[in-house]
Order: sequence, then C-alpha cells, then structure tokens
Amino acid sequence: MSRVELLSPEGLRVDGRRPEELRKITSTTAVLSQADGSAYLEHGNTKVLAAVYGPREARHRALVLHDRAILNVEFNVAPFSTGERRRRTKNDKRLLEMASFVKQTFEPVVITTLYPRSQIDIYLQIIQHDGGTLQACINAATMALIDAGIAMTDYVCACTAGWVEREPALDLNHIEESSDTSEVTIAMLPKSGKVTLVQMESRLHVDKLEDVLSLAGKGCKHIHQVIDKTIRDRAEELARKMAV
Amino acid sequence: MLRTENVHFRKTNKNTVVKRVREVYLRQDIPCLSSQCLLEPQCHQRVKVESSLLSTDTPYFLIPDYSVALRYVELLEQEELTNIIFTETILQRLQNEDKSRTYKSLRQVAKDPRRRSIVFSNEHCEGVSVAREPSETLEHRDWRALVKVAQWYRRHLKQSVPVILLSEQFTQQDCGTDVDAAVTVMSLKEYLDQYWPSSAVLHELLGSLKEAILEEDLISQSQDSVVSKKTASTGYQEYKPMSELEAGVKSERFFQGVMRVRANHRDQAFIRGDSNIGEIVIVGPENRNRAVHGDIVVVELLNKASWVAPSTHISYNPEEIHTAGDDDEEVSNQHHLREIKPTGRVVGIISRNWQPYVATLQEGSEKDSGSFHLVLPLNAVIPKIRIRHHDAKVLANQRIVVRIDSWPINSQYPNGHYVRSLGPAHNLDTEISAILIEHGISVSQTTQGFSDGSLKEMPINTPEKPWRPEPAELTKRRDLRKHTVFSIDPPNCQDIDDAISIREIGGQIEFGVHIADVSYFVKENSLTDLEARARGTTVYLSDRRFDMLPKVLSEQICSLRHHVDRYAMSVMWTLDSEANVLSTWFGRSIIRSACEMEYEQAQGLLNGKDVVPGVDAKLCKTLKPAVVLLAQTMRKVRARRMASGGLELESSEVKFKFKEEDGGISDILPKQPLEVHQIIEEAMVMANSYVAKRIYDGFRESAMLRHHPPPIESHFKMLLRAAESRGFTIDTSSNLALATSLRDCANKSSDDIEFIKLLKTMATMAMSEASYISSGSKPVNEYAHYGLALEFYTHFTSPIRRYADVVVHRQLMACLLGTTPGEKTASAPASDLLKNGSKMEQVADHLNYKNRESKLAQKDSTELFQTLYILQKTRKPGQENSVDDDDDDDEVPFTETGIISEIRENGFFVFVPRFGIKGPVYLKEKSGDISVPLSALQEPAVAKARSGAGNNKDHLTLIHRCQMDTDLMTQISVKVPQEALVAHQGLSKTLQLRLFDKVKVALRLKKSHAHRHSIYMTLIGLDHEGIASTSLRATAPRVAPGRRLVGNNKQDEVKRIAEQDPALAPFTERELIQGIQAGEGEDQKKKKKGGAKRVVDPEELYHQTRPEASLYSLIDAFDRFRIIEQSS
Repeated sequence: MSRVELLSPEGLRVDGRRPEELRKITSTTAVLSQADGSAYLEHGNTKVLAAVYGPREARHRALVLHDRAILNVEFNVAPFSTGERRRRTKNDKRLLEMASFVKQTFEPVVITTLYPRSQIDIYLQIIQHDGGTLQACINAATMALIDAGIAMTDYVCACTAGWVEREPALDLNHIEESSDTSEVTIAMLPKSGKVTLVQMESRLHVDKLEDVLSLAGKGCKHIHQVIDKTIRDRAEELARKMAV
Repeated sequence: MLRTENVHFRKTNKNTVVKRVREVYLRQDIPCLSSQCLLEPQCHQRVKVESSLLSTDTPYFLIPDYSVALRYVELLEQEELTNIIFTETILQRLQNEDKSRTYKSLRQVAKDPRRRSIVFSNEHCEGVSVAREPSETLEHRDWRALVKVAQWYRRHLKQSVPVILLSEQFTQQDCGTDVDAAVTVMSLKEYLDQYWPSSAVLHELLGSLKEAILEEDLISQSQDSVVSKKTASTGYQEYKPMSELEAGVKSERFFQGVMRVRANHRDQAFIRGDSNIGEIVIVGPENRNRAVHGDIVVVELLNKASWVAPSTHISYNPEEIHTAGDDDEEVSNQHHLREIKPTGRVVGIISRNWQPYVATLQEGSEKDSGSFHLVLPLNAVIPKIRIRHHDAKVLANQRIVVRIDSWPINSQYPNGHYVRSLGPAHNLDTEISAILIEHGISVSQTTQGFSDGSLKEMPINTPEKPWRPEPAELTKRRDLRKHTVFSIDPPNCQDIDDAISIREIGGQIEFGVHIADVSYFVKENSLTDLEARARGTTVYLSDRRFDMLPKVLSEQICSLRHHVDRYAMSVMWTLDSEANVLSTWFGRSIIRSACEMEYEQAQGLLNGKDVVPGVDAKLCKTLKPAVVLLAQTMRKVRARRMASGGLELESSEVKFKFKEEDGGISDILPKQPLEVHQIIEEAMVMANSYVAKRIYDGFRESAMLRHHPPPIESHFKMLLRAAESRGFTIDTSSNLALATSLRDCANKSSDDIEFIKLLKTMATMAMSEASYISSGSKPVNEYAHYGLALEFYTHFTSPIRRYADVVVHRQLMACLLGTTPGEKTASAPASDLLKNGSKMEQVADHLNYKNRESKLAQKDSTELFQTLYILQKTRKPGQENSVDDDDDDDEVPFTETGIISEIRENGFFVFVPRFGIKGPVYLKEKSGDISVPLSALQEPAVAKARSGAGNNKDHLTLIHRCQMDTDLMTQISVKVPQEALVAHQGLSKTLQLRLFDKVKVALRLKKSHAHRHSIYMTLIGLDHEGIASTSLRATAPRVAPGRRLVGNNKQDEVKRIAEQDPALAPFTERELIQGIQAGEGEDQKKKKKGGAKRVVDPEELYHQTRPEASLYSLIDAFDRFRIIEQSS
C-alpha cells in the first residue's frame, strides 16, 4: 500500500493548503438560548459547539472553594462525528484527558477570584471530527466564555502545528494527524504572548520543536483575529439592538 | 481561497461502506510555471517554488492524459520530449490506483531540470478544477479536467503557445469547441509522425509499448474469464491479497525482504529475513512464484521436512538453469549432510523492482515465424523474457534493451517489450553501453554532454585568456602560495583534487591537506550542480571515464595543477613531534602547487634517492625532506589508528595496458601498492575524519557522514575456515581483534604473499558496505567507521569526482561562516538542503546507489577486458574473426599459476593473482563424470623428467571415472581408478587439493551467445614448485613482470606463444628482464641496507620495481589511454 503523500513536491498539502495556512474558520456566538454563553465554531470540517453555564452555585458542596470559582469542563464527541459511527462511553480516558486539558488551559485565564463559592461549567460537543479537536474546543470555549460575560484576562487562542514530511505545517487535518505525524497544540494569550498549554502527540526531534512552536504561535495570532472579529461583530449587533 | 468538498464513498477492510468527506481548497496562486508567463511579476515568482520552468522557446506544450501516462511512461521518459505538463489529476489517479512505479517515473521526469517539465496542481487551482457530475465516469471527468487545463494555459499565456493533449482514448471531437482557447488533441502516433518523423527510436518504442501486455490488461482479462485460475503447467500460484500479507508479516507468519538470486546458482534465491531467522532460501521457479531478482517479496516458510541447504555447486552454464528446477532431487539428496537453512515460498509481492534489462534474442529464435520471442537477459539472475517483435531477424545477435511489463500466472516467463538495440553482441562498444545500462548510468553522462546552460556557468580558461584568481577573492582566502605544496597521484592524472604541504616550525609540524575548491565554482542548485548531483560520481571504466563535472573544471580550473594559483579548501594541523594534533584550522585558501608528483617518484624520494626522473633536481632537493617528514608523520598516525583497530584490507585491482594501433590490450597489470599510497591515504583519512567531526558539530541532524557498520558475524565463516585450514585462528569479535589476528597470520606466513592477500580479500568480502548517511537519520552510535576505526568519517578529499565531497565542502563552509557550532541561527548561510535532514538522507541514498552502481560497472568492465585479453591470448594468429568458432582444440593454451581460493562440490575456484582473475575449475562434468588431467597426477619427479623432454600433451589427456571426495570446503581428494594407474606409470593414486594450494591452470574462455564470455580454467597440475617458486620470487621478485615462470615446461609454452603471435606480446619477457635487470642490481644492494627498520621491506613485499625500471617508463611511450586508478 502506498502511503499518502502528505506534502506534494509543489508544496501543497492533501487538501490544497500550503504548510503555513490555516483551514477556513467560521464562528458564531450565542447559538443556544438556554446557556449563559455559547459558541459554534467550524474549523475546516471540524465542528464544535460550546456552552457555558455559570457562574452558578456549585453542585457539590464539598468541591466549593471559598475564595474563587471552580471550573468544570465536560467534553463529548458525537457518535456521528466521524465516517464510521462509534459510540464512546462517558468515561473514555481520552475524553477525560481532553477535558482536563481545557480545564487547565482556562484556570489561569478566567479571573475566578471574582466569583467565589461558585462553579463555571463548560460543555464541549464535537459534532464533526476532522482533526484538531483540542484547538477547536479551546477556541470555542473562549468565545462561549466571553459570550457568557465571564471575566478573563485575555482571549485564549489555541492552534496545532506539526511536522509533515519535511516541513512544519499548521493546523493538521484528520488525514495528516492519522499518519503518525508529530503534532503540537499550544494555547496562547495573544496579547501577552503567554502560553497556557502545550501538548504534544507522538515524537518530535528537539531541533524541530522551535520551528513547530513558532509556527503554532503564528497560527494562534491569526485565530485571535478571526475570533475577535466575530466577538466584536456580535457586540456591535447587541449594541445596535439596545440602541433601538 | 475557495473551499469545496470532495465527497466519496469507500469500502473499508471490514466491508462496510464509509462516506469520506475531504476538504479541497481551490487556490488562485497556483503558478503556471512557464517562463513565458505574461504577468508581471511572473506567477511563479510570487510563490516559493522548487521546480523547473517550461522553457521560453518551445513550439508547444504537451499534456499527456491517463491512458498515455500509464502505458507510455517510457516514451515520456525519453529525453527528446520536453515541456511536458503533468497534471495533478493523472498523478493522483496513479497514486490511487497504486501505480507507484509509474508515478515515481513521472515525478522523476518532472524533477529533472533538463527536461523542462512541470507538475501543474490543477485540482487545487481555482477555475481549472472540475467536479465530477452525477453519472459521469471517472475517465470523462479526468478528461474534462485535462481539457480545462489546456484551455487555461492557452488563455493564461494569451494563446502564444499551442497546447497538445496526448491521448489514446479521446479524440478532437471529445474536446469541445472553444474559440479563444483551441486545443489540439493527438494520439501518440499522430504526434510522433508530425513532430518526430525521423526519430526511429521513438517510433520503435511506441510500437513495442503498444504491444506490451500490462498488468491491468491481465486484471481485465481475468475479470472477463474467471475460468483458468489454476494452470498446472507453470506451477505458479496466485498471490495472496495485500491485507493478508501485511497481517502475516506483522504476526511473523510471513517474512518480507528483497529477493536476490544467487549469481552462481540461479535455481536458488534468498531473502534476508529478520535477525531471528536469518536468510531464507527459495528453491526453484515454482517457489519463487514469478518474483524477479530485486523485488520486495513476502515469503512463507515451507515445512521443515523440505528445507534444504544452499547449493555449493559451481554452475556449469549460464543458460542451463533457466529451463526448470529439474535437479531438485539431486539437490535434496546431496545436502542432507550440510547445514539446513529455512526454505520458503513466495506468496506475495510488495513491490516490483523491474528495470530495463540488456538481453539477447535466444539463439535460433529469429528463424521462428511467430511474433513472440524469448530473450535471454545479460544478467543471468533475471529470467528469460517473452517479447513481441514483428521482425526478429533485425534483433538477432544484437544486444537489446528490454523491459518487463507483467508476469501472468499462466505464463512460464514474464512478458516484456523491446525498447531499443545497442548494437551487435560481443562488440566492445556495445558491451560497454550494456554495462552502463545495466548499472543505470544515464545517457547524458555517457555522451559526456553537459547542457549549454551548465557550460555557460563555467569560468573561462583558454590559452589566450587563462583563468586567474580574482583580487577580491584573494583577500578573503588564506594565502598559502609561499608554502611548498605538492600533489602525489598516479601518472597522467588530470583531475588532481588533493595536494599536501608539510613543514617543520620550531619542533612542531605544520601539516596541510589542500583540496580543490569545487564548491566555489559549482554553486548550489546551479545547472552544473544539479547535473553533478544526478551523476553522483565520476565513473571510471577500464578504458574510459565518464566525468561528473565538465572538463574545464575537472581538468583545469579545479584541478590543483602545478605552477598555477588555485583555490583550495585547506585543513591545516599543527602537530607535535609525536604527531599529536595540537590545533586544527579549516578554511578557504589559495595555493600554488610546486610539483605534480607521481607515486613512484615520491616513493623514490622516500627511498633515499636525491633525484628522481621527471622531477627537476632543484625541486627534488626541496621536496625530499617534505616527503620524508610526511612519511614519518603519517606512519605514526597510521600506527595509532591501527592500534585502535583499523583494518588493512585488500582487493585485487588490475590495470589494463592498451596497444596503440588497434586498441587491443597488451597486458594486464595488478595494481602495485607502494608505501606512498598508504601515506597519502592516511593523510586523506585524517582530513576526512577531522572534517567529519567538524560538520557534525555544525549540522547535528544533517551532516553528510560516511559510516561503515560492523560486519555480520556469519559472513566470516569462509574466512575462518580458510584460516583454519592453514592452522590459524582468527578472532572476529571486534575490528581490533580481527586486525591483530590478520596481522599475526601475515607475520607467520610472510613468505606466502598470495595466501595473505587472499585472506585479506576474504576479510574484505565479509565486510558490510560503507555508505553515506545523514547524521539525523541514524543513532549516534552507528556513525562509526568499522574498517578505519574512526568515530566520524566522511568524504571530503575528492570533490572533483564525488558529489558527496561537494556537499561536505558546502557544509564545512557553512559551519565556518556560521556562528558557534550546534547553534542554529536564521542568518546561517546554509541552504535548505544542507540543513534538512530528510533531504540530506535522500541525497545520501542517491549517492550510495550511484556509487555502488559505478563500482559494479567498473568491476564488469574489468571482467570484460579480462575476457578480451584471454580471447586475444587464446586465439591462434590468423584467426582474427573466429568469434563463433567453438572448437577448443584450436585454442592456444594459455597457462598461469593460480591459487585455490574456494572449494566447491564439483570443482574449485582459482585466483590468478597475476591478472586478478578468479575462475572456476570443474572436476566433475555436467554428466557426472569426474576427470582429472594426467599431468596433475604425475609425481613431481616424473613430471620434471617428462617436461624436460619438451612439448608434451599430458595436460590434455584426461583420466576419466575418478572418484572425488570433499570435506568442509577445505580440500578435495580425487581417487584415480585402477586401470589408469596401469596405463600410465608413475602416477600417484590420489590427488589432494587443498585450499590455498598453488596450481597450474590453463585459462580458457567459455564463449556464450547470450551472455558475456566467461573465463573458466582447466587444471594442468599442481604447482610442484609452489614453495620453490615463492622463495624464487622472494629473492628475485621482478624477474617476470610480464609473465611469471613456473618450471621449465612453462617457459616453452610462453616462448611458443610469443613466437606464434608477436603482436600480442610486444615485449617478450627476455626484453623485459633485460630492461629491468639493468636497474635491479643496485636496488638489491640498497634494499639490504635499508631493510633494517621494517620486518619486510615494502618493495619486497609488493614485488615493487624501481620507478626508473618500472613498466611505467617502458609503456609510457604508447600510453594512449589514461590509466585509471582509485586513490585515497
């Protein structure tokens, strides 16, 4: 069986992007009326729905912290999200791990001390899966948190980059991910440039790490612009509605 | 960027149907890659591209469609066709249909900058991509896509260039009409008729390709009729499906490897399995199941009862084995005693490695009327190939190039097609081009042609306008013109790439190695560079060479000629008096060589002569201390390396002397090692290893290194047995142990040079192959060089003839210009190639391949010339054109002394050191009769008496029906039947032949129709004076540079040859002896004085002649051809 050529000699990837290009991102906020804040994000063919509830009273008394809010993240993948239907149990370790990544990412950014003795719930639902779920989830969660009006020090923008054949490449899709490419996801505060999450799959030579990281950093900045525009548009729309 | 989706359904392994959705981004920045692009700036300048461009002055562009690309790849590979646009559509389809071989060939064409062909990513180009419509076939969609591409090119270039769509499937009608973007559709036939009416090669190729039966035809056939699934006639079996093979290999039920057919026994093939199982033998064509030498196959083991041992026969006839595995039972009967190896059967093929093969039409086949013919490939490990040709008479007795297309299950032989003819068989030029084709040495290299573009890049150097260093460059380089720099090379060397300087300053030694600065003249990615990279290395054949760089560089401007200023890359060391390195300096320099010395001249100076011929006396005075100091220093360095385990290995290289008049060979000379060779080699090894370390520091993951992995233990078996037969034990646990025990053997049997030589050759054969690696691709502990006992090694010293050295030069320069080692900065001047580990790995693999092939080509050409020489020697005068005369009795016997190097079941191999020829001696005929010549059985005393009587024919009288017994591969004993003892008196009852015994043999030529002639030998007798002659040689080693004398009867024969054919022996030995002995007397005296330091004087060890008395000076007069010798 011949392996798929992930990067053609002409410098195009399987879907026609160049290595340093992102997939198309579309996003909206306030898609769910029940939730306090919500966002829907399409990152290429990866589609994520994020809903934020809270800050509200903590469900378990024992977990309550008296000086700040606790973050609770639940992550779920729809069984219909991939080509082959597959049901996952709720305690899938992979899902729990993903949820804890998101939780760790947001804990230093959300100003939890403003909401003592409360809980903020973030629910993430993957509707369609085509690689880069973690980055899509974090970006969607950021938007949902902003939509919910929860105080944060900055946006959190996440982006993956990996080493495809001979070059660092941004934003891997499912085909690229599944052929054992090393992949790094970073989550970044775009204004300060602080990194709140770095996660890596598979092995990568240490000399290549810097290239990959800096590319992912660039990706984050770019994603920030896209998200920021959506948020601002939404805010303007709201402002217009209030003026009426 | 427009985003669309590509939705399709696919069946998975579990037989479920899955919908696959893939994003497709349509871009606007796909460049047309045409240098005629009218946009400003041109569209390929706006994006980063690494591609050649369609040329400006082409009359048309070609776009092949899938039907053409699949079936007529070879036509597209022809160098005449340029400016081809390969569309992504066909490339993707080739990949999807798993035609990776075709895909790779097309990519290769596009990659070759000389072809001006490109790949156009039309599937991702906005406005060109085409979506498949409902109920439209894939063919039609692809065709529409191609038409769209053609029309886009017409519009994009404002209709300045016509576009021709090549298709065998569609015609002009299918193209649709578009007024402002008219596209021509042609079939290949129409195209060739119109544009290449006179090119017979292309037309012939088209014809034979049309007739070729490809594998897809077979598939469609088998789909049509599923009847004849199992045809018992061939015994082949259907391959297992790929998924089963992969699963089998993973679960270790099957084994995967490259199948190699044994050259000496073509019934047997083997693969190297993993380390647990070792080698797996595949016996017979049924078990080989249509796999061809070189294919990657999957093998299933047979049950243990049918395991066999590899054969130890010497095969009789190249043609014999092809027929079928009829001697299977014989094999199994004989081998139950010996070591049984796992035996298997091919159940599937991972990838084919079919190449163009040189072949000859089977004899008599041209008379058959049918259009199918069998051809015999020149390389005996390839099976016969069935080709289709309308006129076989044209092909008779020609060497032709053939390709294999398919091997259906119901066919005994693979189907192939005729590509082109090389010329009449056994013609020198034909055979040489056959060698080149077999080893994939490209046509452009053989025609010596460098494109005009690359020649334009060359600096100018004419007698009127000699090249001079530029003043600006002078300031950047270290000026070493004041130093005494000299080079030591073989005589008449044109491409001098290394020179040396050495001097003593205040107790310290300043020692420099200066290498031609090729990387200064050949800029990375220039046309010359690309061409050199493709060629990989200069190929040296026995009578010609094929350069890697244009002559103006290789012989003039880069070559470090004397008395002219030349740019160099230098490595300068400061050494203390014990040759320990105190400091090292690398850098660019400018030098002026004082003298181009020859090896023999340098050896002369080293031996204490004050003046040597060919070198000015005053110069000698300055050079002599330098040479002596160099020798002293290098001896110390060498001793240190030897102490850490460096091996002294040997191979039998020979040189050919050519006659001036008709290009015939006048003599074969074994390469004569001098101490100076070792000294120069050591200096180069030192430079190489220091540079290797330096570039590894600078490029951790992409340094071009040369590693030599430790040998596989089992390969030493032959060496161990051979040594055992002489009572030596050899320790192969490490390179140091091996070197010590080899040296020990050498010391203990210092009177028997041939034995040591052979032992070392055996050790060499056991070695793994050294190869280039990119340092990132292997773990650090695999960088070491086993043979040289160095931690880091690379090739730095011959950039004129090896491309690897050019890369190393560039890396070294980048290291020197860059910042501190190991640190990567954006401003580092290293290009992408130098830094990129995986690209470097590709280059390294390519160079390894080129190197191996060039070495094999060199070996083949040596063998070719050896057979030619034997042909000349055995042919009676006046029978010049008796090539097809097979009558053995007409041959002039040509006898030599050899040494038994390998014992097999039905005979043994004899190595004739005089000519570097190794050939088989059969004791057992094919019929099973064992026969020995009478002369071999005679008691020494009788033999002497009889030979004294003059011409005797004893060696032609054969004693038949002997009995033969071999054991453990070290000896053969032959029992003589009673009646023979009665018939001939004075016979010994048994003949004992042991490994390393000296024998007299007659060299003969087995004439072959389809293959190259091969040398074989017949036994004449044991060399009774074996021991005596060794001692004879020790005292008077140079008596017979032309021919060694063994016994008196030998001299008679030699004389006879000389009388019969004076043209073949331009110097009878008496002349030679006279010529040489004059200078010999004094040598002998000197040697006695000087030989105190070493145990064996080098001259004595190597039968070395004094330079002034050497054959060089005698033969210089008619040395029309360059003598080629591999140095350092």
